[in-house]
Amino acid sequence: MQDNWKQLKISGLSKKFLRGPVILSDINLTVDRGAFLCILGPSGCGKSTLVDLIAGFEPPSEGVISFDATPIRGPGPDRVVIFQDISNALFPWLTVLENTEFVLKNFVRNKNQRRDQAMQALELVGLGGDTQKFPSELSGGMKQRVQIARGLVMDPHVLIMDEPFAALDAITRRRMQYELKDLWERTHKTVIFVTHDITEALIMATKVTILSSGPGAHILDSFDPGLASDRDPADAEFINAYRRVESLIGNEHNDSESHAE
Amino acid sequence: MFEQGIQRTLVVATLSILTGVILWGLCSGTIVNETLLPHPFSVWQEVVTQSDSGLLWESISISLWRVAWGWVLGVGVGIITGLILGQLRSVNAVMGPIFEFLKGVAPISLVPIMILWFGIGELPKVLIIAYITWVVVTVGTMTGVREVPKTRLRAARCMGLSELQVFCRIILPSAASYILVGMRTGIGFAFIALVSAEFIAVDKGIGFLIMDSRLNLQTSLMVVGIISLGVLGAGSQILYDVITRQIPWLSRFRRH
Ligand SMILES: Nc1ncnc2c1ncn2[C@@H]1O[C@H](COP(=O)(O)OP(=O)(O)OP(=O)(O)O)[C@@H](O)[C@H]1O
Ligand SMILES: [Mg+2]
Repeated sequence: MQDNWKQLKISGLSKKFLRGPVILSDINLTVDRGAFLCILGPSGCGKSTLVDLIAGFEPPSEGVISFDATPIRGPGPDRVVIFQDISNALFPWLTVLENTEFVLKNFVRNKNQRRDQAMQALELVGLGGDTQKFPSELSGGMKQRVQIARGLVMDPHVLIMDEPFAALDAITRRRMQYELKDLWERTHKTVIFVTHDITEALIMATKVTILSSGPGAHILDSFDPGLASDRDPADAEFINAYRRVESLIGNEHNDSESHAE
Repeated sequence: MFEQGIQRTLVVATLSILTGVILWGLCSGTIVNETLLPHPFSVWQEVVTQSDSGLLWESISISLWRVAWGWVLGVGVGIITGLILGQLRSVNAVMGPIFEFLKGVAPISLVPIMILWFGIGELPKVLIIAYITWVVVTVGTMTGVREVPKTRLRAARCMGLSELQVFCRIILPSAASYILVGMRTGIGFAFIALVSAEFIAVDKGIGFLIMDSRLNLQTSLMVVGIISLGVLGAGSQILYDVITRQIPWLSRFRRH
């Protein structure tokens, strides 16, 4: 995989499972290198399905996903997923440090070097002091930090996060959002972040993409929210952006009342 | 807290056994004829006599020997077949139904054919015990392999692991807790199968002791045999727990 890629391109993407209706129809989307893309959409519209396609867990029914001109084929270490399923994403028989080192086994020969890299990533997410704990001894927020550290250590092209904070309490969730934003500002990793929480999306995104409700979800709009780096949900410009997203979703709701939630 | 829990369990267990023995003692010789249900004291006397004569220890050791070998064999083969049936769909499509069929065959019904095939030595006895252990461990291992959470497998696929690496580094450790439980359950079943196995012409062993004492109407000795089976079965499982807890490396696979 070439390291000097510029864009992740999703073109003409559709997905229909063997049974059931078309889930995603004609999705076109580009993600610039270094961007923080938030995909917003109502529950059940097909966000996780889109993540599965980008990660390569599921093949598209139509369309292509590619880094510049190189199509992706199946899952790979260039696209790491941070899962919402907190309890099953980590390996319960490994400590925090071992979980993070684990992913380097195939790429870094030197054991000490693996340890150093893993420690560095864990420090970055604020878990430097809990490296010898097992996942069962961690809170939900800490588990998600380990997942993020494990993703960072692999140095993928894209970090794909599927509602990673949805299972956390409101206070922890908000703290994690700002931490992730901070982390992104320091690393400038390309992130695709899926959520149905408008505020969450606007806190972090450099680009927001809004999906319609399903079945046959399509992209309603994609835009740069144009917010300053210091984002506060109480600021006027933040509230404006919030209203813009809400009206997009609201209009769609009126158009398609027949198959609303 | 934890220590207290163990103590309470011990106290409750002792009390329940004591109550059982007292009830038994009250029934014997009053409601039930003492020839049919010997008194706890006569059973205890029988234990002392047979332990002095060496018959009890000889029976126990030969039976334990059979159970141990049968169990080890069953565990070894069971883990392998369980991994194969759980992991390889194509093999499971062909062999799965055969296994489902074998699963339902009671060990005792294998006695005649075992005698035909392997004679009346130790081998057929060990094999009957191995057979039931194999069934139990195979089911446990197979379940463990199939129950690996989808998210865990997907996480592994993101890490660029080969199929073989996914199997060795993810599936095997994930299935380990199921395998350990299967091995433990296998101990109980091995003791159940022991009596069937000792239907095959024997002159030693606890199963033999029980059956032989019926012919001679030595009910106390029969009860001694039955109790020994229970004690050995439970004792082996406790020993298994103690040993597996002592291995720090194994305890990693317990926490889930
Ligand atoms: N393997 C599958 N086979 C058939 N249908 C599926 C499959 N996976 C998902 N679906 C369907 O696709 C639709 C979208 O599901 P998906 O999980 O992608 O939604 P989502 O936007 O992630 O929802 P949520 O916000 O609740 O996470 C649902 O109607 C679901 O039933
Ligand atoms: Mg989802």
